[in-house]
Amino acid sequence: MVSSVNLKNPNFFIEIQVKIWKWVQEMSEETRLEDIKKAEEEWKKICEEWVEETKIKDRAPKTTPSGIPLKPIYTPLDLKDFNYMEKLGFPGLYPFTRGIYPTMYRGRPWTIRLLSGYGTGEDANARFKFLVKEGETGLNLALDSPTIYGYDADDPRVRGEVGQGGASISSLEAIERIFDGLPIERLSTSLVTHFLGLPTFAMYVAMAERRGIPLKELRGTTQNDPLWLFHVGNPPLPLKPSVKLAVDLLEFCLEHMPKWYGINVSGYHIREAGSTAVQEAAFTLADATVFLDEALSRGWDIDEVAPQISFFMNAHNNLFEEVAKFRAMRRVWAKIVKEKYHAKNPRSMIFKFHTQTAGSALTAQDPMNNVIRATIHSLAAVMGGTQSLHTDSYDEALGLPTEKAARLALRTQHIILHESGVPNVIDPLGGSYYVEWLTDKIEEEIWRYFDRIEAAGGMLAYTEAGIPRREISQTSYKTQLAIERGELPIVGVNIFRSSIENIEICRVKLEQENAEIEALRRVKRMRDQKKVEEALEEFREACLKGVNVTPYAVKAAKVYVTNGEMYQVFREVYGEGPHLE
Amino acid sequence: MVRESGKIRVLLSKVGVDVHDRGLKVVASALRDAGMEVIYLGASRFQDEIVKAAEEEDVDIIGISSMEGMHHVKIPELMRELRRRGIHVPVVCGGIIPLNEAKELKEQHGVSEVFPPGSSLKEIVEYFKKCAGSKTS
Repeated sequence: MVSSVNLKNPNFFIEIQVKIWKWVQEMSEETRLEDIKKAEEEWKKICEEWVEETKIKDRAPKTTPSGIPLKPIYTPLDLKDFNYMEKLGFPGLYPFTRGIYPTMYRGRPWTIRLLSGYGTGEDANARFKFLVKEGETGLNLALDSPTIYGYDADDPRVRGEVGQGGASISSLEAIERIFDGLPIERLSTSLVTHFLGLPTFAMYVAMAERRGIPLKELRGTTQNDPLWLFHVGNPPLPLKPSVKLAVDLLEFCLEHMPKWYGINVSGYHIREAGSTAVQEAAFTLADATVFLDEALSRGWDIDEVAPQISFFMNAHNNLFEEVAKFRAMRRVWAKIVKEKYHAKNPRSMIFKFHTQTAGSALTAQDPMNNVIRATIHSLAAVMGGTQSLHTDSYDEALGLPTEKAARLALRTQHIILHESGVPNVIDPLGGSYYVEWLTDKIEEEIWRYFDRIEAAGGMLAYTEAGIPRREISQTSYKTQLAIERGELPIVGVNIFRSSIENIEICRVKLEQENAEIEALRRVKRMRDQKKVEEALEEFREACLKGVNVTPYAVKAAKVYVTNGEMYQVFREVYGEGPHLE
Repeated sequence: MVRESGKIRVLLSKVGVDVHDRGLKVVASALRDAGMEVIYLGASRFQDEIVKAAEEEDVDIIGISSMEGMHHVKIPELMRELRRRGIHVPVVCGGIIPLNEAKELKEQHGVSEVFPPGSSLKEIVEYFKKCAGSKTS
């Protein structure tokens, strides 16, 4: 507070202020930037004097979390050659910096889509119904790790993991229990398959067909992005076959399901594994080009393929860097698709994305603080123009969301949507000197990565060389060290620690797992074994021949071939994935 | 396997198909920085792979990370199998393991220590150093 500071030399400040008032009066359009420059120099003198007199030091970080150097303030001088129409334009128009739809949330709010799924199919179903009743507007299904890695619920190797981190889907019967009574002809569904979408997607399609819903009406997304598992974690299958199988699914959507995003390219996991915002943006956009290339090599046109690819991004702590990231990604993607792939249709150039708030930013310590973090992350997503949003629950650093915590996460979005006024004006941070400057900087950094990736021979080669993998784990280690040294403050962890508050934790019990295993055993007893063998044989032949395997997967799903059985064929035909350090 | 003289050999892995290995990787980097040799199996490893590596690599200590909540089944199973095969090196766990379940892992299943969220790398490194000397086989 100025009043509390006893200035030794108040005249110093007065003199400068008087000088600047005079300039303002004499200012002309031609000398505008020079005048601002002069005023900025004077202001810097004031800052020095201020620090000198008050001993209040500038303690703010010198960079963004991505390492972009920060100044204390941004002015028109930082946007000197800023061409509004070239950089921003209008929402719904190239380069889409301000948003991908003309009316954005004024016309239709983002889809409120909470990631859910755990325990038995019945548990997942009950949670979905609860969330829909409480006001979510799309479904977002989390799968457990055994399903993602292609092991059935009854496989002894995954004992203890069934239904833990998501729903278990071994067969059509399981997915039908999960979606029982849910109007999938009306609600869009995101299948968060994490690696290949194929078996789960095939079961979803089989379910829809049995319900008599025309495929062309089905709305939703399959994550179906295997590449991130080469950047972090360990992939179940080798790189090239994984890309091939992902694009098989995309191709099936191009042919039969115009309202379904066949591939949802994921930056979320890259970020969760510890990358910076810039790395997340660059690797994700580069990953997307791998799928475009594969689809184009099969004879598709860019204007057919690009509209059916969407993205899955993270919203982390640094509010403005996150907003700038989303804006920069829209601009870069539009340029890539237009200039590198020569798309003609603007609809091909739009960067459509789902956002999930950062699980890795949540703390197990003092978990109620996570409510506030998730609110800030959600705001970043909304101010960044997301198409759909999952808000993490406060208890997710400790376990699966309880009903109470999930409802609060939903309400966080409801309050932003209905009370904050944020969605009322499109791209509300557009024109901020800081945010525009930062958007430009992030764009530059992304292009710098693209140059390096191109020099390495493209994203597949870059991935095979393990460069993103190395960079991500280095960043993650650096972050942890910064937290431990106290350089990166985390409330409740290294500053403002409170005694640990016990909250209710949702744990999946062995009985739930057993019930799911029993359900699968019943399916295996009841199904027509001959049909299963025939369908599996056709599926295997399709894999061996190198044709699109998706229709065969759908056919197999209909006769209750399991996820594990399909994956077993993948493993036999394509081999196991590499074990990466 | 070539043993660098005097270096503590550590095996780090997750058990089962859970992919979340960010914490484990950070621990690997810290242990390496502290001069230990780390055999990093990482994410999505089944029990038999871990037991085999523990045998072949002649490690002094094993670190297991759990995130998705399978520790109540997977870690006791692993402990039984290690002991059955005569591998008696200390096993240290870390990750999202509720305190009461951590207690159970230690008291009933022979896990040496469980590091919950918020444990510092320094404590973990110190513990590994101290504990690696207590191999009994």
